[in-house]
Amino acid sequence: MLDLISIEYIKLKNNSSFWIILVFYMLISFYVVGKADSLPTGSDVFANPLQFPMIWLTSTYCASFLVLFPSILIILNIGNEFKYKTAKQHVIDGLSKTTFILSKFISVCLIATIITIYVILLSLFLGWQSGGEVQDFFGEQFSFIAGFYIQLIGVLSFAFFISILFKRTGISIVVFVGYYFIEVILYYLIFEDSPIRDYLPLEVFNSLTFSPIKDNLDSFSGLSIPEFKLSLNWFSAAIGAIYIAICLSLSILIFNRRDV
Amino acid sequence: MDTILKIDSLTKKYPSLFAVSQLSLSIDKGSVFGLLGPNGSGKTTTLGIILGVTSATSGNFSWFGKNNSSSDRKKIGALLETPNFYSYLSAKSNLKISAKIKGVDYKDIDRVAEIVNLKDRLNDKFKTYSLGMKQRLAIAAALLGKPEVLVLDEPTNGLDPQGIAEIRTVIQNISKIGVTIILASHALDEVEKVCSHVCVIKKGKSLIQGNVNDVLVGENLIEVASSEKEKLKELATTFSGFKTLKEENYYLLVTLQDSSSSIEFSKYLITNNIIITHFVKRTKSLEEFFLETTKDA
Ligand SMILES: Nc1ncnc2c1ncn2[C@@H]1O[C@H](COP(=O)(O)OP(=O)(O)O)[C@@H](O)[C@H]1O
Ligand SMILES: [Mg+2]
Repeated sequence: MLDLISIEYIKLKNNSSFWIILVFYMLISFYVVGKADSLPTGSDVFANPLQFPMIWLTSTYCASFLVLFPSILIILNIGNEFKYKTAKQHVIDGLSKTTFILSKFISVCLIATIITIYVILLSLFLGWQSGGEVQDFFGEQFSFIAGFYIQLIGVLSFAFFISILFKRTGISIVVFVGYYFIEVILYYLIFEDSPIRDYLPLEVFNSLTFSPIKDNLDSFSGLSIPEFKLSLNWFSAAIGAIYIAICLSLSILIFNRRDV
Repeated sequence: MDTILKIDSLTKKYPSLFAVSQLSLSIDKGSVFGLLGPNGSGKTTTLGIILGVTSATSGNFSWFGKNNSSSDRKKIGALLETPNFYSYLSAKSNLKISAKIKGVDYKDIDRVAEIVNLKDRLNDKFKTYSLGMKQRLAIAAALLGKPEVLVLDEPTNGLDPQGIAEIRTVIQNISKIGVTIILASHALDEVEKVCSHVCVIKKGKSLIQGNVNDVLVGENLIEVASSEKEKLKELATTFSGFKTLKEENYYLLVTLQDSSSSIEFSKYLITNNIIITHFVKRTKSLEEFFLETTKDA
């Protein structure tokens, strides 16, 4: 296990596109979260988005908006294994096919962990900077960090599964982005009146972080008073975990069934 | 003798063809086994199957007389078709990854780099390497952890004569220390020079296999010349072990029966008082043999 982590670490550490995309993601999310207090929210509950404990909602929401960047990191990372035929070489050198997939999944967890830690530090910094009267550093709102972590692993697992399936970086990115549109169509057109729509994978992952825009939209249409969820819905988190397990199992299955 | 690898009626069917068909062979410990065949004859497919990256349609194989498990491959060093490394990493980082997978200490990296003569270039990125260096790095990676078996698929493919010579020296040195080597090649002289055993394959089928000398000697051929050409012809055809005769430019090419020896033939000529100006026992060259066996029927 430790060996597998250090293998993935060597591959990531020396990869310049990994650093460029990661730093880019960090800078943009810092900028976006920092600007959050100028966003119209239409609610008093969300009046001071950068203060504790609301910062946890704001930062995870903004950072999750930018999840495409780490997803591309994963797609490039997996694509490299096929491009350089190192997936093949790893199996020749003695990894079982299942262990190979698990070792690559470590990269998913590694990247998700780095980003989550960054978002925590970013929130602490901005929250501390914004001043104001602090009632509660880590209120129930802090649970959105856990939601964010699961969401990240979830979306990255989905990108992971697609890259194992399609091997080629370009195709994987197109399919990954394309699926976002497919799910929007499914959500708003096909399953409009069906509860199924709340169980679509990206919808489940999205529900793990706070979403002012969508919550507003839903409440407008339902004529109800806007009502924000201030803590993570653990049921959605469990569904998210199931989706992650499915992505991982399918990847293992596909990789085992095919010639490397 | 210990058997390192046993292959039993291995078959791989692709939609349009049989890449490997009913291939059986057995490789002894310490031998240098050549898998010889023209391009597309199924060498890489065969090696891919025994290395766990290609699935067989039917048939079995067994390493070290055991059931196959992925961890057995850690005792095998292999280069399949191309050197597979991360181009953006240094050679050293690439070797570290291989070492980690095989559970080998990083200390071994210097040793294998020394063997393939890349010690000074370890910190350079893989993408800056020449083809020959890439190939040597792949051999270095295969040597990590002192494997019992080395599988090399066309290790000299695409190299210039100097690169070919370097790789061959490396292979010969490795085999001297008792490592079993399985070498796939389309180049006959390569197999002739370095292998102790050979299996010639064509369209996935084994045509012939065995000890290189047995397979390659083939027929009992003698070049013989004399100023008294007619007398020589007559004597040769009346020799008890005579089989066929062919007239070449300056000599006669005599084929003897398997049971007969060149010494007996020479004694026979001498006792018949003929002056011989040229007498050479010729082994049918592997080249002729190879072209003959692999040419399209
Ligand atoms: N993935 C594949 N799909 C279809 N045919 C293949 C595949 N891989 C190899 N072949 C075919 O199998 C035959 C044997 O190929 P290969 O084992 O690479 O030969 P060699 O290594 O002796 O040159 C060739 O005709 C080749 O075209
Ligand atoms: Mg080949």
